[in-house]
Amino acid sequence: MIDVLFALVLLALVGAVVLLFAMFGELTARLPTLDIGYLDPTVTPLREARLGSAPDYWPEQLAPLLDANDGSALLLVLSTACGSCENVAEQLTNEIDQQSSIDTGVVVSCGDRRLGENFIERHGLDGMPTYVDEGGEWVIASFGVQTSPSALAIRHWRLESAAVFTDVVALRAATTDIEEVAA
Amino acid sequence: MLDDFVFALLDNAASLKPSASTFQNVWGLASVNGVASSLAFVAGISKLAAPVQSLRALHELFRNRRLATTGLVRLYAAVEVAASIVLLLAAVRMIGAILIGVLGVCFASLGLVGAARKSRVSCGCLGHRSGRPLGAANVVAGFALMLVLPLNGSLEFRASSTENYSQAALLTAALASLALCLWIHRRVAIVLLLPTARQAKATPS
Repeated sequence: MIDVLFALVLLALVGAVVLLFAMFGELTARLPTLDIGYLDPTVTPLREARLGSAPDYWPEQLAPLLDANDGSALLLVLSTACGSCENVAEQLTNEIDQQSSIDTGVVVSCGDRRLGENFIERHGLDGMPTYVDEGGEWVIASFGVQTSPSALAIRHWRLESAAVFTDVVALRAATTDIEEVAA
Repeated sequence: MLDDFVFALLDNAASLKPSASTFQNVWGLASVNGVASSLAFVAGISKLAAPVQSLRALHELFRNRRLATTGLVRLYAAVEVAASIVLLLAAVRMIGAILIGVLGVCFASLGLVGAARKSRVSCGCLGHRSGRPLGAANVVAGFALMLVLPLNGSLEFRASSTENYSQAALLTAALASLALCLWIHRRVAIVLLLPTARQAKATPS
């Protein structure tokens, strides 16, 4: 019996070593996102956006997101040529495990499709609904939006509100406040 | 422990199965179960600590992201850890074998879905962010785990050997888990150790 207990204790110690390594590996993977720096929490309404507009079509990469959320979603418009957008993408990778992004999609505006795909892969955004918008054509034609990073709140398949932001947490808080007021 | 096995062999010589000895049954089964258990043990603990990558892989496969949450991934990981330990204890070995078999079905199923949908996101099965996407490797691992149930069902050993089984299985699982963990994180060890080794060579003593 003592031998079995000793072997159990040994297994528990090995379990602790495995746990330490797993935490160490996760911390190492998160290192690039720990040095993001100061984030401006201001969320400013985006005046150029055509509120109430609905796109002529929804890309197949984004349609399931809206189907799953009754025509509602938060679309984040990022650009491969925008430094703040790199910052926002880093914040999103940390957010994925917190389930905050369950109704969020990302539209990556870029000059060349390969740049957009590289952006998505680099930031590990392929676990979210993402759409590579070459030349930003879809976002401009559908919502009149040419600014990034920006957030488009879609309700019942139409653009309800749009904002410019740099802090994802502040954006989430602002979105929650709007929803509570509407309710 | 060795003398216990010898006495067990002498005591039970008349009632041994014609195809396998008590000694081989216990050690062979303990080794196989220990290795199978180590896979589930390391995978479970790693996912409990770092479920993010597994979550990403599941979100890539399943459009409805409410089907995969951090809580569910951690619950699955807890079942893996529990199954791995139960398999190592003689009294509840068969329950552990059933749980491991079910886990094998889950692995293989996710591997098939990943292969069919050409998954590109690292599966995070062992907790780390770099690794293969869900695919053929998971199907093979799943089938291997499924074999644990019929193997345990077909082999028996005497009641007097239960303590030896538990001890042997626990030790095998501990060693295999340690080896697997070091293998998974070998890059960290290489990066940390190699510059030191190079420096030691360059500096005359």
